[in-house]
Amino acid sequence: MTWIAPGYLIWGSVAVLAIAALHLFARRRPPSQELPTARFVPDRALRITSRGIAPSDVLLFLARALAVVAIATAFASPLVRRARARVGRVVVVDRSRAVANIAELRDSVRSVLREGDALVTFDSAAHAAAAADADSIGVSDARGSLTAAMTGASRVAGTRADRADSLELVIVSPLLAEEIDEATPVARHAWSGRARLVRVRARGSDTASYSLDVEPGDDALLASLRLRGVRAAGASVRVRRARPSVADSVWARERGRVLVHWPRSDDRATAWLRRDRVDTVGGVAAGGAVVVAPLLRAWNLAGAGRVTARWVDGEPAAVEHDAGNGCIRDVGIDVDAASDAPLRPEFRRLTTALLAPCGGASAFDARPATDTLVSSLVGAGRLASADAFTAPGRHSPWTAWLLAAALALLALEWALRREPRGAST
Amino acid sequence: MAGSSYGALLDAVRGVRWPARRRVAGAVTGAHQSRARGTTAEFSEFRAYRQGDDPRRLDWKLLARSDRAYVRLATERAVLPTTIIVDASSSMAFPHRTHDKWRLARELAVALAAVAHASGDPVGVIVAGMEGGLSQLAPRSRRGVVAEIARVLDRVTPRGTAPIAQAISVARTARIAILSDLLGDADAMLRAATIHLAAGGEVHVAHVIAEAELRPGGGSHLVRDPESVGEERFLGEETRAVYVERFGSWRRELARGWRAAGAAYSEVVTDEAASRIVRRLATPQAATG
Repeated sequence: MTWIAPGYLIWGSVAVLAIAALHLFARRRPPSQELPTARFVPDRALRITSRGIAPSDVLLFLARALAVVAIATAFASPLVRRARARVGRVVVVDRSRAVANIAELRDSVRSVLREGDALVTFDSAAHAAAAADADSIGVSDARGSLTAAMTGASRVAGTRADRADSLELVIVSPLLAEEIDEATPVARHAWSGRARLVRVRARGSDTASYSLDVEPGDDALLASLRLRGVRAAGASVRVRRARPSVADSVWARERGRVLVHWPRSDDRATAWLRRDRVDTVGGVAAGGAVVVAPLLRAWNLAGAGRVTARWVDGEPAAVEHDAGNGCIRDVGIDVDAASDAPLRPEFRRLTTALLAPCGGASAFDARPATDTLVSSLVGAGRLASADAFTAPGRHSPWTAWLLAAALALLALEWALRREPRGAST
Repeated sequence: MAGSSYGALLDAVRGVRWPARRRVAGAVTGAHQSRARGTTAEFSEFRAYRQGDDPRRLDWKLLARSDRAYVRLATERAVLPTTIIVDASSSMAFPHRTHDKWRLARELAVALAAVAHASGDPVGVIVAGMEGGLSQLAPRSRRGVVAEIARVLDRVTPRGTAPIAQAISVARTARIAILSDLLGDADAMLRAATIHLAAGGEVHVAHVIAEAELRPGGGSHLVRDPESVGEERFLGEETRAVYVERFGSWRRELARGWRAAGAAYSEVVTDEAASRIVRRLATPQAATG
């Protein structure tokens, strides 16, 4: 037998001890009775109480103590569990776009999955799956989220808590950095035990598909973009610092293509609405990336299209508008030539968001998770106890009966208390 | 039928006589000695003839032998109408579970009525209580009056206060028997009884006391008078002796007062058989209790 809230048993024990102490030490008002000749009894202050423990006192104490025990036990919610395995497992399988080879993924799942294990698949959301579906797992185009995976695993663990003493978490994933966000450690912390990681091969980076067509020169921004890798042929993203040509516009009309117009702040050829003066509002945010640096703001892009990036004061920093089946994205952010901002990691994440496909779909980031993140995900120590996943809202089937018994005992206590004691008259 | 519950008691008191404590003034012939001297066959004494005596009462033979005129006197007998006053205040419903005081008062009332009725005396009852009222059955000597009294008493449940003094004033009979615990206005009762006694009547008082009042149960209790609301007193080991002493002193004072007034006062306790109590009350020595 286990208890959902064993703390109530302690409180119940304390209450029973208190009742016992009161029965032993409390002063009690003597029983009252009629006596026609009461006028001959001296009229003194009622300071004396009856002494000794009568049988009715013992019954009263038992009724009170048992009522308290029943109430405490009801709130502690006893659970009688059937026989269960020593260790159960929850296998979490990554089916996001990060997976390179579906066959390899299925092999890995088959190698770890045993009869009775729970299976959870995830991309941007997690879903419980039957173990028999392991061979039919498919890969989606969505970005993976280990936060969703951990949440789903904890939820499934709650349904398996009564079948095993301990639960082991097995993660089958390429484990890329893009799958981890700020909430992932919190979600991982909810699983109070170590995990086993089975890594599969990750898909290659899309960085090489960026096509950069820039004027020659000493340009920090272009240098930063070139670090991501350039492949002119077959590119889906084209970046232009100068005003796009007609050919560029025609190119952008194809499905899946993005023409990024990213002029310099001193470019007078661009037909955008210029601000009175170039300022540095302090920072810009796009797609979850925030860069705090003296970036230059020369244009006012309000109302020019769908906003894909904003300055910290809320003004649009980049907008995009449709062009045929593709889109053209105007980026009004420039970097001071003397600034090292383009070299920072957050700027790299910003450019990833600004070079993302049309409609705001995030670009694929093939960077693997750092060793620190991986070790924090795997954890250490013992396996998680199954009791830790007992749902807070679970009810014991005994609770109602125990409360009914407590009510009956309280009624008995009331009847005993009303029964006159002492002399028969 | 009341007779069925009182049958054994009535059998036990059959043959008991309840003579008047002094000569009675009644004119109707009965069982008690009358104050009047008549011409019945029951010779009493001779008295010298006085002017105005009926010459027919002269003892002519004695006059012839002694040459002195004597009148022959004989004892007259008269009835003694009796009223039994029963206290039906709430203090008589004690002990709470058995109502022993009220049971004893009822039995004594029925038994005394039977004894008086057996002597040919008219007998009636006044039940004082029931929220301060009086319920009266006028004195009668006809058959069935005892059963009638028993039925009246069986219908009563003691409650409230009992105006015993008023009942004494209302009773018009020469003999009054009071069955009460005297816990009401004892002084008013005594005053009314004294007036009745001064008028030539006789008063019998049976002071009904419960055994539990004489010797309250052990342990500690809060006790309250059913006729006074609210006040509770503590009766424990320390106060029990004082209670017994005070109660005894009050009873002695009460007995002295009633006897000094000329009433026949007796204490009757609930654990004593009613037939024995009746025999004791009916004897002339009852006045000394």
